[in-house]
Amino acid sequence: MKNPFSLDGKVILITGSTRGLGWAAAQAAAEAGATVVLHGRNEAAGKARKQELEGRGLKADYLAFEMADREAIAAAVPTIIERHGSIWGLVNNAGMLLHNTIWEETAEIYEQIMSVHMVAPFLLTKAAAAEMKKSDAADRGRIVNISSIAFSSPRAGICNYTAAKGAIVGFTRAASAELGAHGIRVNAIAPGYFVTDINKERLQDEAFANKIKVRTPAARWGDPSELGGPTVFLLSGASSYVNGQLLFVDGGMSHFLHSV
Amino acid sequence: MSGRLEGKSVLVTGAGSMGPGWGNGKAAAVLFAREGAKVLAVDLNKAAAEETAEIIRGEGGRVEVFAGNVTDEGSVKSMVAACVDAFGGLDVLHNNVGILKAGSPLDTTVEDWDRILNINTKAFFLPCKHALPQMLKQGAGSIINISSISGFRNLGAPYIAYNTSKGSVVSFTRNLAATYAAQGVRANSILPGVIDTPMARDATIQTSGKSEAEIDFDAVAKTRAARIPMKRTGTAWDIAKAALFLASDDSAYITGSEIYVDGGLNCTA
Repeated sequence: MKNPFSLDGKVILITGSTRGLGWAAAQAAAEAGATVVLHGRNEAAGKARKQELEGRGLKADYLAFEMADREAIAAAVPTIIERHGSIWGLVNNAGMLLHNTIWEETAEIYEQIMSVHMVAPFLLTKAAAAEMKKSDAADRGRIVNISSIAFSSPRAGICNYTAAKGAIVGFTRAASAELGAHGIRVNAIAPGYFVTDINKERLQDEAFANKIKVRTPAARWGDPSELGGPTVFLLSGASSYVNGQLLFVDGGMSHFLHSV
Repeated sequence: MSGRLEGKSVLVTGAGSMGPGWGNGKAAAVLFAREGAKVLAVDLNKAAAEETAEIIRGEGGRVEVFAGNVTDEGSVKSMVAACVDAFGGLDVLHNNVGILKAGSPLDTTVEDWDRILNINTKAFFLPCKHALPQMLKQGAGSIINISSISGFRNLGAPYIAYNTSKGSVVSFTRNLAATYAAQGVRANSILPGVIDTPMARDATIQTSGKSEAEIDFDAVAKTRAARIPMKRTGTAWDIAKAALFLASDDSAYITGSEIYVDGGLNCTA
């Protein structure tokens, strides 16, 4: 019997994967045997990460484009088909965080955040699912959307991000109901607080770092590598009957209210 | 296989199947062994546990059988001790035991209520209570409790006592997870949807009022599958693979969570 977590021969696009959680997911997927199509805004970073994976004997490619660039988004899946012949997986991970209170927030910024977190994943899902549907197999593809702990446990000052991360959960459930009959599974992951490069700056704020630690039953921040396993699970045959779900990877934070 | 549980000691309750075919505990025990685990197959019915063990031995896996009752504290203490004695530790506890009897709030007797709640809630409470000291001593452990989507969604069949017990699996598991996360013990729930297991067939027989021979199970599965986004009912292997993920270090930062394994059923109107 084969390894249920294998991604051998699968082509998977992971947006926002040159650093942080996307990079962790990319490494795990490549180690599971996938050809990972990396993505970032920066051409040089994508190329460097591609070479890094190839240097480890893994399979990788990369695309560089802005998540606000609709033409570039439209070209992404056709480019992958042209280069690799098929697409099995899409991980909608690319995101951005702009701290603003509701009083500071403007419609323009709010729409910009929605565009990156909601419109781009929708367009990529549509394009990728159309290709996945062409497969002869009963099991045709996987889409994984990265939501956030902000969905269940928001904090002040990130209303735009929280709204977008909740919206992607609704989209995940709707898409799972619609695409399930086509052999495509759509799920989401809600990461808690991880020690990513971006968060390392936040870790300098001792009060904040401590607050998160105290609020997390595991009493520690997550290591980005710990997002690799869940991503591979949802991209592989191991999750054969999991569809439309939001998987919290948060050290228990989402169900815990600390009384301090 | 991938050796995800290489060298781990695993206790699976309800490891035997109540009829021909694959129940969730049986499939999980076999899959865990394939992934390198040493499995203590526990079941009230020794012959059923033996059957699972035979399959594991036939594949070259490591297994011991324990005939035990998860609602009897003495028996539970003994099964935990048996696992530690046989394998040198206890890394994963997988609680599968549950019984089901049809009944609405009006026609469920107090006796049935007590029996179903007693068995289905002690089935996770007692093994957790007695496995925890060993896991805390080891500074690591993963507990997987089988709940059900029927704990939170009424699926149209009158299983009031069973559904209440299955909802309680999640609240217990979240509380346990929050309490012991800092000490390295994780606990998560799996919520199976419509799965074709011997127990599910028994439930169909109970609610239909017909005999087993009178029911066309393929036709039943087809009708049910039409409601499910993935257009099929699940198998015990679908559940076992999710359990394998939660048992393994791949889920190292996941605790207090639920994984629905229902083909998307709870996403539909």
